[in-house]
Amino acid sequence: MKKIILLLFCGVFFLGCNPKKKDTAFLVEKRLDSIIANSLKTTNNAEIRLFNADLAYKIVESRDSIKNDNFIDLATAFYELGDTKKYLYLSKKLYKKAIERNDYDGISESAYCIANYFYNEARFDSAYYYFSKSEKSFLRLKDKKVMASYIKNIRANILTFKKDYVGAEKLSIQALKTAKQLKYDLLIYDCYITLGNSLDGLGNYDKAIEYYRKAIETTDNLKLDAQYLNLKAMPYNYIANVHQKKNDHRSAIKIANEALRFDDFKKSNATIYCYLINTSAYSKFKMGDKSSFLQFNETLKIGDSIKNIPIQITSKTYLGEYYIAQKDSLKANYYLKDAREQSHKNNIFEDELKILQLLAQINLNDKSFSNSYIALNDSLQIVERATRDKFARIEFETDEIRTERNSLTLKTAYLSLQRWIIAAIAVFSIAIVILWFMHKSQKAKTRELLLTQEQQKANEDIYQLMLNQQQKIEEGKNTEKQRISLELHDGVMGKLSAVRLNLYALLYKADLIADETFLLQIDEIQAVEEEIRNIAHDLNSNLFSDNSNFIAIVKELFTKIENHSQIHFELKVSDSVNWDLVNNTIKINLYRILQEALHNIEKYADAKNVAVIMTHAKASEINITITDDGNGFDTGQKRNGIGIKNMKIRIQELNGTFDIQSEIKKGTKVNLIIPF
Amino acid sequence: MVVKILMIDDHQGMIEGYKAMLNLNKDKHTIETTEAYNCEEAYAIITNDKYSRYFDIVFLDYSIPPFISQKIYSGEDLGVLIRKYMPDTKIIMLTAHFDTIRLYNVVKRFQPNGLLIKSDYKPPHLIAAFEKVLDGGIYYTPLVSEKLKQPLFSKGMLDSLDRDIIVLLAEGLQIKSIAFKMNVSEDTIKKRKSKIKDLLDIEKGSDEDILKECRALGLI
Repeated sequence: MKKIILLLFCGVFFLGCNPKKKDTAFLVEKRLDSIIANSLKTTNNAEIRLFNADLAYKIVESRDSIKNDNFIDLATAFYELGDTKKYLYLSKKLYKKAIERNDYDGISESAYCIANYFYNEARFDSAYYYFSKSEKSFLRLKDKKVMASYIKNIRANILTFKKDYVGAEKLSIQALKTAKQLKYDLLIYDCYITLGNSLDGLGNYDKAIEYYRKAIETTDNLKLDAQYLNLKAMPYNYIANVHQKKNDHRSAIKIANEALRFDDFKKSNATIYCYLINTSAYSKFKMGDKSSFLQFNETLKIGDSIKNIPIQITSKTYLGEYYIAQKDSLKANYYLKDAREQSHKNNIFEDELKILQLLAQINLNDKSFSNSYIALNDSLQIVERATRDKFARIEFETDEIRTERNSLTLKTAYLSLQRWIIAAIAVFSIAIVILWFMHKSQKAKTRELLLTQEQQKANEDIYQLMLNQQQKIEEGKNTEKQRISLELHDGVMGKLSAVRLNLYALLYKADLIADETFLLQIDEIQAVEEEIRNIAHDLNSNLFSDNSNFIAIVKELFTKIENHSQIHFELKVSDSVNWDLVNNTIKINLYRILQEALHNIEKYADAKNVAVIMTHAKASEINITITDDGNGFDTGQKRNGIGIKNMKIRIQELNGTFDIQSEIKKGTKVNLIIPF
Repeated sequence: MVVKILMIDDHQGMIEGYKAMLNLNKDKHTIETTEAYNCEEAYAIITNDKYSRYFDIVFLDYSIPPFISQKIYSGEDLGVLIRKYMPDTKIIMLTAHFDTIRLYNVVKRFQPNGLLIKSDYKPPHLIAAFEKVLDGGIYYTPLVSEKLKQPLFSKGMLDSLDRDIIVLLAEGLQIKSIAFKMNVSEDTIKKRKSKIKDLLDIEKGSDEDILKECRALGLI
């Protein structure tokens, strides 16, 4: 008893627990959403944002089920606040979870974040890898084609860094196609830039400029973008650089200056300003304008202040070149060595190679520079090749997986088709079997019907034969009667007459004619003649008896039985029964019933007299009673003897009823009522 | 006086009987008989010119073996023949048949001077008939007179064709056969049958019913 109470209590407790638990979870989630929102709000100062972010971080670390969005948002908050480590950690956590759950949404977002991290660290191999993963996952989601293509283009960019310009071009064109389909102008712009860079790398300068021009065209659709002027200006720098490569410095300067006129970039975007100034100044330098030196110093100063390393390296390199031209190897070495160190530290191998070349130029005695150059160049090439292979492999693996997936879908489709076909065949076979059974049962039914019909016909035939037999008998009788009648008439009577006459004459002659006794005898003879006459006449007149043939047949039956038994039959048929109106089936069945009844009487009853009476009780019924004075039987006991059963069956066929009354030693009476 | 009688009967005994009886006649006429036992013999005698005035009386039995080639089927036909070839000769017909139609036909066709039904007369009546007929009278046995009174025939309601039809029906012939035998159309037969039915007061009946009624009336 105690146990039961305890169980019940626990049950109630648990039931009570759950809703509360749910409430807590719900509340916590809402809290988390707002905390993260706070960490992202740009209107809050950094301290509040950081505080909120840390708080959210604690919650996220302590719980299991966090929404994807919360992960990403919190990571972004940390990134914006400068904590790239937490950014990477959170992204990687989500990534691992998402992989386990096949959560493509989670995978795509987290992989992108991780890739971004590596990209910013200039660890392009890892970035490329995670970008690939992210792109693949995005493609599995609905309506993420733009994102996927955007990432594709980033991958193309990475390939340009790795000098795989062919690969880059391929990817970028794919991305461009989707961007054009979806009319995403920013992505179109990016693709054109990437394509320009790729073709520039391949040495197809004219095509490169064409793409850059297209990029500039695209900015016409981006007028509403905050970065519009910067976006517009960048391609000009690229075009100017191409012209520089072509040694068309005049065009380079012209184009760079054209871009500088869009805006006061010195104030709005120092980076673009430096790029444009450096390009234009370098071309001026190449054309022999010594005033470019001042511009180099300007950009170096700005580059230092905005902590932009590429600009610093570029400016220092240009200054180096300038001093080489001025034959001031000291200043040249100063700037170049500085630039070399920077580029080496930051793994900007492109620039490092160029700087080493320049250093080797001015330090002819120092073989170290040229050696370093060669070494660097070689290793770069190896890396390049390896990267190309690696990236190709990543590409290939992605493709392979895609093909695998396709073939799998094909296989499943094929299998499901197979299954459908098998199901259809099964259903079809079952249908055939069912139809076959139905057909068979139908056949059986029709056969049954035919058989009943045949039996019906057989019954009628039998009756007809019986009638015919009876008729033949009658005909025979009639012929015989006629013959007898004729014989009597012609022969017997005539002769008797003759005898009478002769006798009379003889009596007369013998004088005995007065004797009454003799005359009496002669009268007697005449009486006989009359009798014969009547008999002959009657015979003739009874040629066609009044009885209908059915009764005749019944009488025949009686006669037959009388012939081989001691039974005497009496038949009474009411005149009101018109047998012509009774159909043959009823007649034959009646006959059989009578047969059966009389047979039973003969076998068991040991009767001496049997009376069969046929009447009409009602206009639509025939009553037949068969009464015998035999032994009788116990009706209670012998309910289902064969004889009675047969009679029952036949009566039922006629839709009639019958009952038997009997008492031991007092005879039996069978009553039949047949409707017709 | 010698009375020459032609006796036509297929029973020898019968003729003996006649002869024996006639010899007992009152007037003590001498009876001289010529006998024919079937229609063929009778036909030969009757149609013989030698005998056209020879016989005084003919004793004619009804049922005698027919002479088919000359279409003599019974004494009735002979009677007609006798009237033709021996116009002055008197005929006494003796028959066992007593159905009205037959009697009526016989009377109608050749008006026998005497008509006796075999079982209907005592032997003395034979002599009486003989004497009466010889004197030129008519002698019918009572039954015959009775039968002849049958209105259906005496009033001419059923004529000879009707009578023939009834007889043939009694023999079991169908309409087709009757029409063929009587040489009339089947329609005629059908019309006659319905007339017969009407006269016999039978509304709806088969041939059997007609015959039943006729037998009841003793017509056949």
